Amino acid sequence: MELLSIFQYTFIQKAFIAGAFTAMLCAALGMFLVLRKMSLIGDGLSHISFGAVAIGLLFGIYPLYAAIPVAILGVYFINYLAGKTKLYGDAAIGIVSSVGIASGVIIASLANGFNVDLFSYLFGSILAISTLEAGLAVILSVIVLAVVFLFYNDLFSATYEEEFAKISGIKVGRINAILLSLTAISVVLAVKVVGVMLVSALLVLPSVTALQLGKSFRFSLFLSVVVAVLSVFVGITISFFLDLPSGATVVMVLFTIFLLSLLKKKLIK
Amino acid sequence: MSIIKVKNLAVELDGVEVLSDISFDIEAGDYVGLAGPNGAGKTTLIKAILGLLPITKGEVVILDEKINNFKNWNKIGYLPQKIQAYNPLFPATVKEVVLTGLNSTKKFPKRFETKDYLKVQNILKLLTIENLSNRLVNSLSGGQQQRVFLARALVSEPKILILDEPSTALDPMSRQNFFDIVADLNKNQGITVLLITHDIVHVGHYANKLLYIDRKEIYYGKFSEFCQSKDMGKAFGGDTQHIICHQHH
Repeated sequence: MELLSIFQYTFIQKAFIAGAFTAMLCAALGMFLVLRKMSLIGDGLSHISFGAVAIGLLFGIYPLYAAIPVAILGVYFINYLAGKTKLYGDAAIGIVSSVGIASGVIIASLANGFNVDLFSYLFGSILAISTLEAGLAVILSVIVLAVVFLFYNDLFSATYEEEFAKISGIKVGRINAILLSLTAISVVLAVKVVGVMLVSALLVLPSVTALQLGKSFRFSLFLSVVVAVLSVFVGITISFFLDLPSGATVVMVLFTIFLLSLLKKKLIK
Repeated sequence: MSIIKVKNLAVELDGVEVLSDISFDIEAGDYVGLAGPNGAGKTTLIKAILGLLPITKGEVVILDEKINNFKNWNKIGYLPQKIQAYNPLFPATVKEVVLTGLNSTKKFPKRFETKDYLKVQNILKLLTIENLSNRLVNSLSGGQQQRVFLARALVSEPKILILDEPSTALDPMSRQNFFDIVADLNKNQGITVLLITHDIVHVGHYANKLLYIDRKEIYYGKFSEFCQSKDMGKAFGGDTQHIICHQHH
C-alpha cells in the first residue's frame, strides 16, 4: 500500500509519464544505434546538449529549446567529420563530445549563478520536472515514435544491410538523417531524465539486454522498450523511498536487468 | 532483347582508375559468368552497374533505364559478397530478412500484408528452407544462410539475378546444390543471371556467356566461342583455355 502511495504526488506522476515516454523512444532508437555500432553517439550528443543548456541558461532561453537544435547540428557535424574528413566515427564523437562539455564549463564559470541548474542537467532531475517539460517530453516522444513506426521497414533494412537497402530503392542517406535527427531529440529529452553523464545508458542498456534474449528483431525492439519503461518506474520508485538520485538509480536498475539477461542466456545455453 | 547494356564504363576509386573500357550487352535469359583474377575489379563492376559506386565514364542501362534514374529495383535480385548478417548480435529471423527483399515493391508507408508473407513462404519452400522461417539467421550454417539471402534476392520475382561469389562460404555439396538452383531459375523461369566467380571452370558448366575482366575487358562473348578462339588460347595459354572449357557443354 505504501508503494502505491507515491502515485498521489503530482511530481511523481509527471516523472513517471515523462520518464516512461523518454525511455520508450530511447530504447526504440537505441536498438538501431547499437546494431549500427553507434552506441557512443548518445554520449557525444548529451555532452553537446550540456553546452547548449549552458548557453540557454546564460541567455535566459529555455534550456531544452536551445539544446534540441544544437544537438541536431552536433549529430550532423559528427556525421560530417566521420564521413568527409575520414576520421574514425568514435574519434569524431570524442571531439564533439569534449567541445560540448568544455563550452558548457567555460560558460558556467563566466556566468556564476546558474551552476545549480546546470548540475541538474549533468545528473538528471526527473523528480523536479515541470509540467511544460513533461508535456514536451510526451509530445516529442509521440512524434519520434510515430516517425519510427512509419519508417520501420526502411530503418530495419538499412540497419541490417545498407547496400541491399540501397538497391531496394531505399534512400539510405535520408533514412540515416532521420535516425540521427530523432536521436538528437531523444538525447536532449533523456538529459532531463538521467542527466548528461548517463544518457548513453538509456540508449544502450535496454537494447543490449533485449539482444541477449530476442528471438526476432521485432520482439527484441518490443523487449527493449519494456525493459526501459520498467527500469524507469522501478528506478524512480526506489529513488523516492531510499532518497537516492533518480537518474543514477534508473541506470543501476537497467544494469541489474542486463546482468540478469546475461545470466538467463547463460542458463539457456 | 538487351536487358543490361554497359558502354565504355570506367570507374575511379580514390582518384585511381580501377576499371576502364568495359562494354557488353546481356540478353534476356542469358547466364553470364563474370570472371577475372583477384583484384580484377569484378565486385567494383557489379557495384557500378547497380549504382552503388559512381561511374566516371560511360553508361549503364538496365531494362531501358539509365542506372542513375533507375526505379524498378524489384526487377533486380542481388546477392552481395559480404553480408552484414555475420554481425553475431543482430536478432533478425529468416522471415524478417527475406521480407526486406519486398521493400522495393512497396510505397511509403511500407507495410507488409498477408500476400507478402505468402510470397516469403513460397520462396522459402522453393529453396527448401521453409522450416527455418522463424530461426535467427545467425544461428544457421553457411549454406542455409546463403539460401536465405538468395530467397531475399528472389522474393520480389526479379528478371535479373546478380550474384557476387555466392559459393565462397559453402562446402562442395552445398555449392553444387546452390548452383543447381540458380541454373534451374535461369532455365525454367527465364531469369537472367550475372554471376561473379573465381571458379571459372565450374561456372562453365552453367553459363552460356563469359565476361572476363582484369581492370579492363579481356573477353566477352559466348562460352563456346571463347573455347574455340585461338586468340584466347594465346592470351590464357592453351592448357588453361582447355581447363576452363572442359566443363562447358
